[in-house]
Amino acid sequence: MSQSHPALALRLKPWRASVILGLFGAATLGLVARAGWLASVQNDFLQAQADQRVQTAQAIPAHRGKIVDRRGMLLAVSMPLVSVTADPRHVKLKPGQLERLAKALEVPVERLQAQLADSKQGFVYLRRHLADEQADQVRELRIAGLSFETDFRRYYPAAEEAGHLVGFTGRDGGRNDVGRAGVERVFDRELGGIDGRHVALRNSRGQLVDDAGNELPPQHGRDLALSIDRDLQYLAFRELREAVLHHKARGGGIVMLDVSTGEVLAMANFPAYNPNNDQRADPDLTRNRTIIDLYEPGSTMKPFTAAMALEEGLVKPDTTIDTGDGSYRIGKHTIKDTHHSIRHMTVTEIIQHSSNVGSLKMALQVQPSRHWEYLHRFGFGVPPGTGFPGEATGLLRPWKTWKPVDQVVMSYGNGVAVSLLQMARAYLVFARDGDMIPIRLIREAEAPQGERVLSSQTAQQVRAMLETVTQDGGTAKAAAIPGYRVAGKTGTARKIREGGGYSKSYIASFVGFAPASAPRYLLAVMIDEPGAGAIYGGAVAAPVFGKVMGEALRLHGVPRDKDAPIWVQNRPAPPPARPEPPQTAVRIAAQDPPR
Amino acid sequence: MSLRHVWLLMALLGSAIAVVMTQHQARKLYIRLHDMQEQTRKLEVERTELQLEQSTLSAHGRVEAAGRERLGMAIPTGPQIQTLPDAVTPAPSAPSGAAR
Repeated sequence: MSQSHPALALRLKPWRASVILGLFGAATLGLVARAGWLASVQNDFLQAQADQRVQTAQAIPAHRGKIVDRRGMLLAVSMPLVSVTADPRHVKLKPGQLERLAKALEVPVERLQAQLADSKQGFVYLRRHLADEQADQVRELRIAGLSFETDFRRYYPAAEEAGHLVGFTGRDGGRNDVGRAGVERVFDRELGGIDGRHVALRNSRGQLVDDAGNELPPQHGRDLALSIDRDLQYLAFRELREAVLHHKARGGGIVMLDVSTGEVLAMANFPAYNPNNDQRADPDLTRNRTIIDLYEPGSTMKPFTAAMALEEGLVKPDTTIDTGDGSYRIGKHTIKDTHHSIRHMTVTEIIQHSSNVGSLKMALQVQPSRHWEYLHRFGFGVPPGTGFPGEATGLLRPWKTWKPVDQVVMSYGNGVAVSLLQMARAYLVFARDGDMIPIRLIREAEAPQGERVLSSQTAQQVRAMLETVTQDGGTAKAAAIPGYRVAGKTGTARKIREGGGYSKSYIASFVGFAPASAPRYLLAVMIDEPGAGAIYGGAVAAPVFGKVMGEALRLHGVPRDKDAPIWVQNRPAPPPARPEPPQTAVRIAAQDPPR
Repeated sequence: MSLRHVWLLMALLGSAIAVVMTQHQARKLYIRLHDMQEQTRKLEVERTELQLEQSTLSAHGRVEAAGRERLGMAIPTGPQIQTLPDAVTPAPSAPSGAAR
């Protein structure tokens, strides 16, 4: 064959082949050397660069636990919000995508274009805090160079109603959502979670394709069920607000307890703030006054004086005490009764008419050390133990520092300072036949054990006296509830001025429970500086009690007391809703028997 | 090259392909897992949203207002409420007792 073609007959010089072979050899050597250099000397740098492009470290955000009420209704919840960021150097937009992105982000096209054109920046926020679904629309556009950051926003569905109790979260030392007030703060450790993180491999379209190990699962926060009943909380807040506004008062507080378990069912303050707002009001407004603030209780203290005298065997409910002309002199002080009509009053009448002189005469028969011991046992000067930041201990001075006048004024509630929660807790002793029980804000399956501080006989005697307060001749007929027997006591105390002495402003309060036959709920109401004329606890605080307690008993189908009047005097009967009121017989739930 | 070498080479090729296949499978499953986790999260968010909605709709104030205004209901007062004794078959006779 070789002879057939002339080109094959061509003779080449042998060196040319050698040159070509040599060049190929050199090139191959060069490549091998280069590869060796990259794989050895440059290895770490290149590997890092590759990882940077393919691996992505992602934080797995842990969410904060929910706070719910006793029936699982939300009081605080975290919802994810997504911020969309971009690295303009890597964003590649196909035609029409700019407009679609702008629409999904709800930002002007021009602004978006300007942001993405700025190639000097490696990181810009395109939109902060989008709802999760909206962020999904952006994700679906599958645009390279965009990133999504998730963080959580805390929502408080009960808003003002429970703001003081639930509290709020805020930023603290780089951490988001740290409990700053209220339950959020008390149970911050339980509610808060720990973010996880993992490293994943990403493909050219930004999808995660594989796990590169190092996964650290997030630890989500625990949910927390409070003892609060959201409906009762709403009612308590609504009526408190109404009363504070109507009486032009500075503020007020209300606490409702479950008598059998010591659980707080409602706890509200007014004025209130909305924990959903980012700009939180000043601490003066966010403080939970029912737990933190102290006040002089005034006459709500008298039942404890009576209980002490009864327990010591000094008096019986029908023992008469001579109150003279309704005034009593001790040293340079004169103590007077507000309404004096009867000179010889029984112990029951002293409570019913709220006589200062009668109370102090009972107290003076008891040694100061013994008197102190009783007050201490009722929980005065002892923190209620809710764990709330700033929980008030109250002020009960050691008896050795008492002057004679001190014991006198303490018998009717001056010279001691209590929080509304302490007062509510102390009244549990009367509602529970003489035992004291810890106060709880958290729902627990088992009721704690009570600790006996009074004989049940004394507790029942005081309860009977407290019932007369809401009946004819008592100081708080406005607290009466049709169909139920109600026990309670009013208090009206002058506020102490800064720097000593009493001011002209008052604190009106009412503490009571119902049904008196078998107490279910205990309610304490305090109105600070009523300024529209009425100042007395019976006129200002007792109506709030009547409304909230009446509604609570009705809502929970508590059986009515057969021996209680169904119409209450001095309160106009509400007109029938229609001209011909339908004869509806409402059956009281029978599955909820009285205890 | 003996027959043994051929067998080894084939086994090597086979296992190499198996590695590639399992790696691919692992990635597919990982993507699926990731999607599922994302779906779980989304459902969780939705559940919370629904809970929020439920809590808004069932709020005492709203239910009360709806009862009063839309349905013309009123809270029964005084004698409109009758308490029946426990565990007694309802008597057809006129209500008794409670009115006082």
